[in-house]
Amino acid sequence: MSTTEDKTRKVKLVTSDNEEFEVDWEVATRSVLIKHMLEDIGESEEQAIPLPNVTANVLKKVLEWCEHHRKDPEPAPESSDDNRKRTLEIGDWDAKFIQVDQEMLFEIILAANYLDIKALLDVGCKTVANMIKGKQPEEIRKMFNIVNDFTPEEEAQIKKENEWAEDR
Amino acid sequence: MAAISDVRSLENDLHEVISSWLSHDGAIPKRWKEEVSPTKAMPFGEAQALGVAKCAGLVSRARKTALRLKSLSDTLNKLSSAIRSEFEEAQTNVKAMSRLHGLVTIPNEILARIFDLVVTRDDTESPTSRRSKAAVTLSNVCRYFRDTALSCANLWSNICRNKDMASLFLERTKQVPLNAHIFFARGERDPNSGSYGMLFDKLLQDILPHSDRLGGLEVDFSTYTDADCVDGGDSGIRQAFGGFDAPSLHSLHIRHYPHHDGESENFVTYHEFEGWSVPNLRHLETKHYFSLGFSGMKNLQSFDITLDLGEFDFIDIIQALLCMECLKDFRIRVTDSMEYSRRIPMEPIFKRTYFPSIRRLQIAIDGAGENYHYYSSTASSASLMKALFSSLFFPSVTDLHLNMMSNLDWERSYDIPLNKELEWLFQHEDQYPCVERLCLEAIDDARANFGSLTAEIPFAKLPNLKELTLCSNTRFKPSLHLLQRTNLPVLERITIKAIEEGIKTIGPFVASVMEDQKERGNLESFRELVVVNTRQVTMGDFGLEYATRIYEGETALEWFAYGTPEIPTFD
Repeated sequence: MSTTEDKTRKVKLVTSDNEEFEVDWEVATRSVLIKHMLEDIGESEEQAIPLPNVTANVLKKVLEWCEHHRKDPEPAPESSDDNRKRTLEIGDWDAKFIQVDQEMLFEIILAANYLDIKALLDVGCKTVANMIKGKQPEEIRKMFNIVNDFTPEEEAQIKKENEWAEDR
Repeated sequence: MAAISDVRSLENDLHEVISSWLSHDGAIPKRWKEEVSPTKAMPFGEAQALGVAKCAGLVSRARKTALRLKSLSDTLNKLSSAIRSEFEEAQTNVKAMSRLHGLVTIPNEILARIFDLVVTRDDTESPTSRRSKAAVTLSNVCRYFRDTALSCANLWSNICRNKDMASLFLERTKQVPLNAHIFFARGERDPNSGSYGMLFDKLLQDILPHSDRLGGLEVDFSTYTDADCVDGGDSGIRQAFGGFDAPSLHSLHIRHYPHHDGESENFVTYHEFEGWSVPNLRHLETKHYFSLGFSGMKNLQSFDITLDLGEFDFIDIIQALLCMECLKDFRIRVTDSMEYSRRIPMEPIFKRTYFPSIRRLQIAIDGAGENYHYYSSTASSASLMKALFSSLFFPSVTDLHLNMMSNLDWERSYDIPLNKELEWLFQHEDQYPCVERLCLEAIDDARANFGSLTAEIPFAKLPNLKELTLCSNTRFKPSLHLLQRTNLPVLERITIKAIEEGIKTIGPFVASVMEDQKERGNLESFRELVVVNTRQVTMGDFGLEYATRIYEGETALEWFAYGTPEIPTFD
């Protein structure tokens, strides 16, 4: 539970390329990793949090997301019951936010995973899922610049599976 | 010093030209200038004095210069377009390589998570079949994808189609809960009783032994199916289905397509599920099928029902809803095909009922905007709807979604009000006291592009509203009732999702609501206006992308500042 004092507190973050960011506590603690680190170091305002796996340009983008979602409620833990109504829909702001080049998209996913920001990780993964969804294997290969590396035996099995999948 | 007219190769010329460009942005070297400059006009006498041969020499030199420059220009043009296409290819390569790089850098568990999203997250009509196909597709891309896909048991949990597929999927699912899609069809008619038998999907034989692992089930009852079926009368399968024991089943979809083709006998009874034991059922979606005797409804968290007016007794449905003490999501879609109009009571009476557990409510009305006074049958439909919704109270609903499906056909190229339907739904001050988000969809089912849909937004009945979403695929003119102006909620977000014509007609309403909020000194509470042009859509790198503009805080007022709204486009 955050206190009023927490909300006015500033947090220093240092990226892998040694850039320092000073952000509001409420923004920084969208990251569960940072939140836990802050709990560990206690009240020390001067101590900067090192983020060795995140570069400045990626952190800038991640903090833009955290700033926009600073007042969002904590995400509920996932349960299998939620499965039914989950869709690949992304909110309007998030959809615009995530329209970045591919390199940055994957960097954001990695950063969200490292920083433990579930909702941002979800936005990133949904974006990649939307890119893949509805595409044929050849289109997916082209998309990721990968080749079909199946053996003839595997190809035969795949052909059979496809016939079954197309049945009915 | 070499001049342009000297005999030199194109290669040398190109070299000189490029050097000149790089050193001082000059298209041609300085020393060529003199020859390129147009020969000055001269008195005729002077030209005559030059003589024919000298004049011809000047012409010849000018022509050679022009040809030489043309050759250079053509070559550079070709080079430029060749380099451009190389550049475009390189750009595509950068994108593809960064995706490959991304694919290599992301941990396997994230790829598995993405696969899970691709396969399991959709709310299509028939998810099991789509999901099983999506899993097969992912496993056919390359060995890395296949290994990842095969390691995710969850991806293979959707059983449908045929026995070969079922056994393959069952092998890959390990012990995760299964989802299955089975079909039932009408069998032979018994000449003595006149009733029809039922055909059972053969897949059911494979699923029944795994009923304890069943997490989701789709059941389709239709007159005909191309599924491989067995006669329920000739096997114990009907009995096994009737006493189905699925302790893990949490999601059930029942789709019944009653036939109105003059053959009154239906092969499905409303008692098919009464012997089922499904204590953990949480989600039920049912179309034209309802059974009060189905014990699985007790623990539901979400209930989605589509029905025709008169098809079922609403008193039974209300009674069933009251038993669902944990119900959080309720969705009802009402159609009025008039098939059951004779069963609609003329003066229906319902007891006032509260549903305190429901948080999200969606009400869809097909045929909204119909003239309910014109025919006696539609008049009785109207009185039923009015009486029904007058009795229903949702004190805890925070998300209200209203879906008005209308038909703007060419015979009625005028405004069609949806006020009647909204009046049915909002009859009392305290029906939806906690609603924070309202989504109103005004849809023209016929997509005829005639006339408009209009509606008075019932703000006064939604005192805690924070977010308003208006969606339309046609011209939609929302408005405010004059009496409501003193009692408007403080909005934080407005979203418009419509075609251009819809955005234009919604614009004045949104502008007046925001102006009003400003006048009341509440504009600082407003966070954003989102405008989505649903007609400007493209298949981008991120799937379907709509032209969208977001106006934060006070900038939202500028959206309609000049009397016409700004329409988002991709330009």
